[in-house]
Amino acid sequence: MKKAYQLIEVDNALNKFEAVDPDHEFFTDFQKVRGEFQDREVYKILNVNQRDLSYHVQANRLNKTMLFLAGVRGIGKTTELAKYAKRLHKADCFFVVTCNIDQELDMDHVEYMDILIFQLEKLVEKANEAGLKLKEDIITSLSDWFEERVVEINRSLKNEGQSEIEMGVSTPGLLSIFNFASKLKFGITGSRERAEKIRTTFKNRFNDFADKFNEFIERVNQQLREQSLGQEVLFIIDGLEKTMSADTRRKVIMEESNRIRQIMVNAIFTLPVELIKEQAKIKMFSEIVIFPCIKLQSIRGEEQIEAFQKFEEFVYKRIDASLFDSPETVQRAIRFSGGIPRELLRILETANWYLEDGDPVISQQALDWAIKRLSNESARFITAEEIEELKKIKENLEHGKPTLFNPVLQELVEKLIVLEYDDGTYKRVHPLVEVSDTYQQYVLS
Amino acid sequence: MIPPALHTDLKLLLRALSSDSFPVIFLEHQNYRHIPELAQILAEKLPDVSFERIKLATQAYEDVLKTLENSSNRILWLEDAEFFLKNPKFQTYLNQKRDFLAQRHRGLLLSIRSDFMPHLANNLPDLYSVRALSLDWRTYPQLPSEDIRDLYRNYGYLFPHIPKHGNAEETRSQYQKLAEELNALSEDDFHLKMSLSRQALALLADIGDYSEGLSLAFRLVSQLDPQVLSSPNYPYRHEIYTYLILFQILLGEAHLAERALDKVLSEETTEKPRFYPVSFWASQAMVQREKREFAKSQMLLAEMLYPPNTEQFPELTRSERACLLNWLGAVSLRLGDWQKSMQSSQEALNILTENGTNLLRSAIYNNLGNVFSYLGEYEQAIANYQTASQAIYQAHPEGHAYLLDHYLNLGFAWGEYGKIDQARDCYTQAKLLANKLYGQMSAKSFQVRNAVLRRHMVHQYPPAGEEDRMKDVSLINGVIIMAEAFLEPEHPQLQEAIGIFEWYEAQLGRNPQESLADLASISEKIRQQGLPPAE
Repeated sequence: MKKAYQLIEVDNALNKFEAVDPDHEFFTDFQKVRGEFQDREVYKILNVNQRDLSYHVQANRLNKTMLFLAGVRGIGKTTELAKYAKRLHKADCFFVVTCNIDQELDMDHVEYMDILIFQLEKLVEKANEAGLKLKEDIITSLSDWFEERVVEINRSLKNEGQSEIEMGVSTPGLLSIFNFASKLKFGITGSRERAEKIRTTFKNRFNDFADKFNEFIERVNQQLREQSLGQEVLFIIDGLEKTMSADTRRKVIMEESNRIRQIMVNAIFTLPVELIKEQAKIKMFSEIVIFPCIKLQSIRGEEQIEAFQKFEEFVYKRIDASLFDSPETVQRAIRFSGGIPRELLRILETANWYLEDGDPVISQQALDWAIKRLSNESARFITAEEIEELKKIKENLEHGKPTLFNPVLQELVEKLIVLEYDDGTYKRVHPLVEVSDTYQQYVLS
Repeated sequence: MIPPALHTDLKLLLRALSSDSFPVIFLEHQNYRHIPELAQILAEKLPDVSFERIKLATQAYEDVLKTLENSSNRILWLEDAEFFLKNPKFQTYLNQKRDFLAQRHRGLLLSIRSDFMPHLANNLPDLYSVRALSLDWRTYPQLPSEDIRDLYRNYGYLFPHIPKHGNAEETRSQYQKLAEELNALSEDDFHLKMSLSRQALALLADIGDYSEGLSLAFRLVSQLDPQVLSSPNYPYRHEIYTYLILFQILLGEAHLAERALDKVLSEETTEKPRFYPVSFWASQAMVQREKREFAKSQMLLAEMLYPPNTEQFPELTRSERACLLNWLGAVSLRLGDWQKSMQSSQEALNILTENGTNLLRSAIYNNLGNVFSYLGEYEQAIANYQTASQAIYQAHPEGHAYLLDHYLNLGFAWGEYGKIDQARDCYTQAKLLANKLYGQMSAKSFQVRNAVLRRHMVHQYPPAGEEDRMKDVSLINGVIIMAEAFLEPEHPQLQEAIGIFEWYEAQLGRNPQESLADLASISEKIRQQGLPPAE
């Protein structure tokens, strides 16, 4: 992706499918304009010193953090995680291992067990790349344990006339664990019966596995420190919200909390949006940070200049200012994004498509057409029940009151019809929905 | 022609498809009629853009995924994207692979039926959240109905419950030609074989050769299941199963039809029955009717025919609506609602065009006859049954399975009208025809004989003489012996025959259990030694 200096380049500059890392020319750090959310809160939960982003091992020997980053789609969670991966991956802090579940764990039915094996595989892969030299005894201990399980699984598969998991030629060092983890991952992404067999074997021995996993991580941590590669491992697990069905995701997080609690490793997960309502239960075994929309307007209606400036930076890093008829056009697009970067990209993309051949710049008129189209489309499937909820939100906002949680509201948040700011208590209707014919007729009148 | 109201949409669509930012575009429609014209426009206006057109309804799951992953740098056009919403596997795939597809392809165009649109935000949330355009093309103009019909055929929708062809001889010769073609195919031509076989099934249904049809459907299912079990979208799967179920019902094996339907529905991956193909809805209604669950059958039919659900089934043609309306009429009558029954059948008759199939027309007159019979207006009933029979004879002078019902109903009306001889003639015709079409030992023949006896019970006792009574007893003895020898012990037709037998034995003052034991021993002998040679 490159900055657009001509209209023909705008489409490419508005690509919504590539998250940008902090080194990318498009990267914009919104951290100071997310209302009550601050990245230092994340650092604090991870026990990272906020001044120099260092991690003190001795002070945190028993403090392992499981953190869920929760927020709606398109809000910038992946970009934020990429930022942590970049900033915290250093000798005096973490050895960060990023696991993109959506790209690499390709399956319908995932269990926590599968994610753990995947984490292990990614850790070993990255440690090997970094030249981590683990002592033979810990490698042997874990690979022997895996080998025993594979033998056990194979016995069971053989009894049922199914093909066995290949043991392959033994590989020296860390790669032997990588091989086992890869094979098991391959097994669980294969047929349902085979995956079940592997999972059952591991589940039956979960306590044992958890001990081995924890011991392995602890030894990796020691070695990381010895080789000055980091103080401890931090897993960043992204894409959970994109994988599987909502039911499966719920099972992984809510019903396997006992297993999650047994694993002693620092990890950040993205929390699927539909599980935000389970905060209270999730907080019993982990931490949650709400990653809100960027606040463009205070609860009293005052525009947040700094947030607008950040969004202008976001736009102008992608599209040269000369391609807009005026800065007001950009500001108008920002206003209608509701503080969600991806929504802003959608608005600008549509406005660009409304341009006629020969139009020199993205005009306010094209933007208004785009807004009109997107607004009516966003409001198209709002139900009568949801209209009542929207009326309530409007009324509460007028009186400066928070709107209480209920399932209809949750659904509206998930569908980006209602947006949440600060810690989630400040809610307002998406500006695009507010100008829709439906909203004007049924809520405002 | 794309109407002026959609010109802006078309312009935006062309612009978006020219973009290299992987636009995700939802095109909402009422049916698939926009596709041919849009395909032509895209080919003309965007000659440099290559499209991969995918019809999910007619491809195996694995094949769809291969196409999505392997063909690169193209616009993927999912022409019936609602199938993604039917299938959780597809949903998960699209959500999860969104970014992967964005890296490999130039865009994603999803033509999606209107009734599925409100579910997108919940079922495909990740894809929906990055949509570039959402176009509402519900106002796209109608095509001539025949073209629409062809479109639906291409998209895997079908409704084989009414015979299509008018001329039996012509249909029979078409079938024979096709059967020869099928025999010449090798095992490797699996897909072609399946495609031609479903046409053969349609022809056998039209001819009324349900036994041959069932046998073919069984063979196909046994070949189909191991190969495409994991692919509920496999082309023709719905059709072959629908024919199997249809033939089982028509052959008096409703309990087997129900099992087959349960099996195939359990393999449907959706939890929402309204996403089932229309053929399964119709089959469910038929099975419930055969199980005498008339209220359930009525409910299923009403859901297909009346708002708010009619949008789910825009593919129904006039004939198909007429067929369903007539079914609704039939089950309503069984529930005692003769007004509704008459109204539905009249409505069916009204919407049936002059070119409508004679067999369907005869079925409608048959139900109207039943309504008059129910009301005790036997003259009118007989007139309607006779019209029904004439309609069949026009297309099938050698007789057709549909005539069985007509003979039985007409016989009953004659009997109630006091014309016992005419009634007896009709019943004899029914038995002969059943034997001719299905053989004496078939469930259908037993069903007809049971039906005849039931009618005798109504209008021969007590007025019938000793001779008639003994004929009946002899007939029911024969039915029991043969049914026990040739049907499974729990077969509904055997149970029905035993019920009738007990009634006759009670009339004769005998103990039915003792007589049943005697009959069972004869049946056992036949099972072991076979039937004695015909004299």
